[in-house]
Amino acid sequence: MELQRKGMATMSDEQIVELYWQRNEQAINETDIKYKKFLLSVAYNIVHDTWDCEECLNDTYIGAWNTIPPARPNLLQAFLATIMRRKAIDCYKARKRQKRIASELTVSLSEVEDFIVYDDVMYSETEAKELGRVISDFVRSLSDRRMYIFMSRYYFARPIKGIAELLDCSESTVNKEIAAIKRELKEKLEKDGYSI
Amino acid sequence: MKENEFLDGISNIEFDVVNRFISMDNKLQKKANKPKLKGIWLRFGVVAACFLLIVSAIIVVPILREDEPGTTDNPILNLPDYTPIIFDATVSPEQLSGNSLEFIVGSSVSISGGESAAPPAFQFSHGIAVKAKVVKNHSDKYYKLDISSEYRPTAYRLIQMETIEVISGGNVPQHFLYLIPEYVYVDMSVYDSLLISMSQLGVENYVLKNGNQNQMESFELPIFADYQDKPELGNIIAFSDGIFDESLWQNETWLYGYQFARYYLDNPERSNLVVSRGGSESNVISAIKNQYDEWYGGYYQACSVITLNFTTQAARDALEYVKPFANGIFSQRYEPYYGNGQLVFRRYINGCQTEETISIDLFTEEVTYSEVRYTKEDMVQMENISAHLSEKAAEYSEQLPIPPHTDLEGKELLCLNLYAWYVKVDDKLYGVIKTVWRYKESDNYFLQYYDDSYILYDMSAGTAINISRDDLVYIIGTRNVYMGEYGKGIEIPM
Repeated sequence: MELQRKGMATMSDEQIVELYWQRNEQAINETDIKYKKFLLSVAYNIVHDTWDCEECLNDTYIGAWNTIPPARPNLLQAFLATIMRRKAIDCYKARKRQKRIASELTVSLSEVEDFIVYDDVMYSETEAKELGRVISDFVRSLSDRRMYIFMSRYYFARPIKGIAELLDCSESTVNKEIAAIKRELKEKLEKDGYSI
Repeated sequence: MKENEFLDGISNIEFDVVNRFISMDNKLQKKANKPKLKGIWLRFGVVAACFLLIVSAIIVVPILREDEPGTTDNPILNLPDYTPIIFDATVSPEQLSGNSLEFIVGSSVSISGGESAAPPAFQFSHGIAVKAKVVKNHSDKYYKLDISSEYRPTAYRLIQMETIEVISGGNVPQHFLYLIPEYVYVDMSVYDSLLISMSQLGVENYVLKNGNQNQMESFELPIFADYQDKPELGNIIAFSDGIFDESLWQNETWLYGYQFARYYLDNPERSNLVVSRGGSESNVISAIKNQYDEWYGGYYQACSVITLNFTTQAARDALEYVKPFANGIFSQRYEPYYGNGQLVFRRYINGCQTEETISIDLFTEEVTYSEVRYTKEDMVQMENISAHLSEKAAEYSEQLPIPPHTDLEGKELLCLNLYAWYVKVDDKLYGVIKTVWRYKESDNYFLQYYDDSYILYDMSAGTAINISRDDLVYIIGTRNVYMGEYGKGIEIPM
């Protein structure tokens, strides 16, 4: 590579993406060195099973290998996190058909039970994308701090304690903000015609 | 709402939101893992500006750059005789319907397009915030360098601004350039003042491609753009006679975003905007400062503008090295996540990319040169392949080329691009022109096909040949070469 490695310093995202584009399998190794820990944490909060996490991780690497190119993500970490989360959610759903999972995701979902119900009614992928757009608009309208809390809790299913530590505030403060965000999201969804 | 519906809705949160989260998460994680700021100050005994969060470890020795008389009137250094090509067989961004999916095809998440791409961010982003006024609107279109990864190049406009008051940030220059995507550009010179939240894109001598003049331009003034270079236009608030002027947000290209803003302006009791109807400028500035305090508590420190004032000879030599040369320039990029934060320069010859890079660590000032370096003799030998690129673009404008490996039935052309770059292998110089096609399955946007063809210019032999991918890789290696399977659909995520 063009830039010399300094000690254990990791490659930049651009360099790693370049390796993917060259179809150089070192890309996977470099991704693993740089993001394995982060990606495992993404999956673990959702599936709470180290074996499943490793499987999701492998699937994520394959997913990245198959999509870069033609994709050339600017922020590789976010790109990988999105794939990893989807793999973990698929895994969560598959396992949930058999039993409830005691994961942080289950806990975070229980927090929004006042506007979700548990049944197996099918809905289309288009509807999910539309809902994703509505939620995205809502998240965009949040302050940086609230966006961070919402995404931490409901996208990455992170524990409240960890969020509070990173924001340097108490867990009760985070809980209060989550309550306010939930209230606003509920209003937003109702306003957009979602039955809650 | 069903549990799975909610889960899948969350899973479909759009990528720019995830990006925004990851960027902030990195900053917070980095901050959490750093020793207390006080310790850093004591350890280094330096009273210097400290960048917030990500760049908090970077201590530069900033000297406020004084704008020399005349500089602001002529901030552009025209560079001679380059012909960078931006060839796009598809529609231009301003012709798009506004569906962001038309614009983002997994290749460049930073691009988004159409009206829907302009939601007001409502909060001022952390970083550099100023009260400023427009000095000059540059009429030409600009493109960033190295757009080869972009599905469709984003055109930008440049606005020269004068700082009236610094709300947040250290070393903010009196004059600067603001880069804004053309599809959301609007003339802001009609307003008395603007409150702008922005982040630094480039230090002095940043180079952009001028799409109108078809040449490279280097800018003396530092360049800023919206937070993460996205058009979150709520980060610009206009004032006339010291009172909030809503008309900026009501302009044609910001209307999608304005509908959100209007809701809050109509319902101030529910608003989380820093502005309200009839609000005075001073009140808004206070609100912004309060917002910073709310978010960052007592430990907020303003980001500093990076100025190039290195103390080591090695770093100063590197800056000399990356100055424009006879037939080329160096691009620059700020890499906050690499080491302590680095400026990375890349050599472009005749407007075409090379593999030569030079990086300077902003903290240690350590300089790293890439293994491949081009000499003055190399420059003399270089054939101008961008001229060949122009010819190719003209040829394709007459008739679109046929992809060599793709069965076109049931497929629609998404884009056709041309790139050129130089390579140096074992002291031999080559140029490559690459034509790239991207198709989608007619009834499935997310299944796409990629195809390409190559022409190799051998500078020492004076030859130009159409070359297969395998033969090309044998000679120059795999850099910039697509190594996937031709004719096989690739599922695009999201």
